Amino acid sequence: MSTDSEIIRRSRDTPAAFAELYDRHAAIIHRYASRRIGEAADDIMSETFLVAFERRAAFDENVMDARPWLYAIATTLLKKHRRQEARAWRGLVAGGAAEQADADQDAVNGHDDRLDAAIGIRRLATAIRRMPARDRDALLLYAWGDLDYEGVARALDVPVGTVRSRLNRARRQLRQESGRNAPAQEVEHGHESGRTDTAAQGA
Amino acid sequence: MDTNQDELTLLRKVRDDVAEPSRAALNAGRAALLDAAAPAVAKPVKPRRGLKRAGWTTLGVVAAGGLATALVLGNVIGLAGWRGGADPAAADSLARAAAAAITTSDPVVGPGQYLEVSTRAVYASTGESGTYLAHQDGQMYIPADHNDEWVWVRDPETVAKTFGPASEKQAAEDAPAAGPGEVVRAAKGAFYNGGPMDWGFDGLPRDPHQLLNYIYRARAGQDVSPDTAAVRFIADTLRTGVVPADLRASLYGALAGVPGVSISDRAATLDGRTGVAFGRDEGNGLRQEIIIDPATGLMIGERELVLRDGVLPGVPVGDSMGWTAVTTTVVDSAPDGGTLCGTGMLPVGPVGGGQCAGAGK
Repeated sequence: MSTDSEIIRRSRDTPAAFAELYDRHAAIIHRYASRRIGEAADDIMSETFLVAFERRAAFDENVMDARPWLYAIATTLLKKHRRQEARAWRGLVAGGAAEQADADQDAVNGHDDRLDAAIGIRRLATAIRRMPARDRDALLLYAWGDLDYEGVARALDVPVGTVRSRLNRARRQLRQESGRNAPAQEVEHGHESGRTDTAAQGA
Repeated sequence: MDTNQDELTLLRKVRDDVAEPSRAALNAGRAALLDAAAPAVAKPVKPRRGLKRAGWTTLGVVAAGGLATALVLGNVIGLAGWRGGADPAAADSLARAAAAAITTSDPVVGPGQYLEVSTRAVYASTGESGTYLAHQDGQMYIPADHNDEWVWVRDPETVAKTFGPASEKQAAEDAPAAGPGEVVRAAKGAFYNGGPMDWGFDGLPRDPHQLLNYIYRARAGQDVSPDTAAVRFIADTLRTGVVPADLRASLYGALAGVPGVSISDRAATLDGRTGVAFGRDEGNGLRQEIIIDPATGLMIGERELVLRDGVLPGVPVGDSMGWTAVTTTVVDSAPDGGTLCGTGMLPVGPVGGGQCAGAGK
């Protein structure tokens, strides 16, 4: 299978080849946008790839994986939808959002996965709504975009150290909301596993 | 199931059931892309080979990450010690604070009494209009017998400080969604139907050198550098307000071992109390500080200062983007009321499973 960078390189002479990148990643960009802002996700998905196509000459060919680059474009486009996103988080805080209703319904039905999502969703949403936008971007790219530290750094065009700092601050804010804010607990329960180590080596 | 489910695991489950893009939306996006690609055939773009992204794989970052990964093998041998430590004045002052901490006995909570941990917390809140500082205070009542019921009073969220019209606008926009405050009550401190409260202090070494190595290892790969990660770990641990005197002294000792730590303010005032601020300037425009009362060795609080314009848009240099002040006192009673999951939420699933859901639907 071709790497993303090979597809992009090919699209320089054969523009239609870029559609392969779309087929590969459109769904994850849509998913990310949908989790952040809801309905306008279709537009974000489409626009992201149009912008990417236009800027394909600037793509660094040394990077195999185009996802951080695509997330970078999507993140910029999402900025125009701040109001919508803020409303979505407020909805969760107020407990009136569909998600909450679903979680409640599933709680009644006994679906464990959805039950987990019901745990203090309101507390999480409160913390996320009020954190600085750039910390929120880093946190959501990491948690929802499934990028490692290096990937988040590429997506936000900041040093890896800055990503670490922002994630640390964001997670600390989330922890404080749960009342379990002693760092020694994390160590004890081994929450800092695989991904962090990989990222550290990659740095 | 891990009863202390961490916040990232939880976040990954929020809105994890969003719908896939519809076939129609996927087709429309693809068609738009091919449409854009069609006229471009005539003028293929020139590749820019070897375009390097400057700046972020600097030697410093590589060295720091590599060191953190490679050297933090144990508590005895590790990052602590051989790279120097805090500057001499800070180390000296921390040694005196540690000595004071040891001689200041921990508050004794008699049978039927509670340790009241009062936290005043301020954090930067940013939205589409601007940034302001918000307050969320709380008091946790910890019973003498930790198996008894704990009470956590969480005050309503209020605006602490604004910075001009944009900031005021944001604060006003956020007001309707501000946390209304609630009282949470749980045996063993298992708030929100979680596991029993356990700060994990027993597992921390008391020897400052070993403690610092432990901290470096625990935070390996996190934050802007291992040293800043260590300062934050120490600040986060202290601000629980329940660190026993011996561990508090060890944490001060560990802080004295962190290179780059210096006294940043000899008379720092936080929430009306004055102490010595110890901080580390990372060069990223922010400084994490820990403020200690030198007479008693008690931690007054912690704050993160903005050192450079534009680090947090709208927040001026010298202001903090967040602070926490902690006080502890022994009291004879705790407030009445409160439920396991707070206002409007009920526990669901197994006891201690960390699950609460909206009530009354």
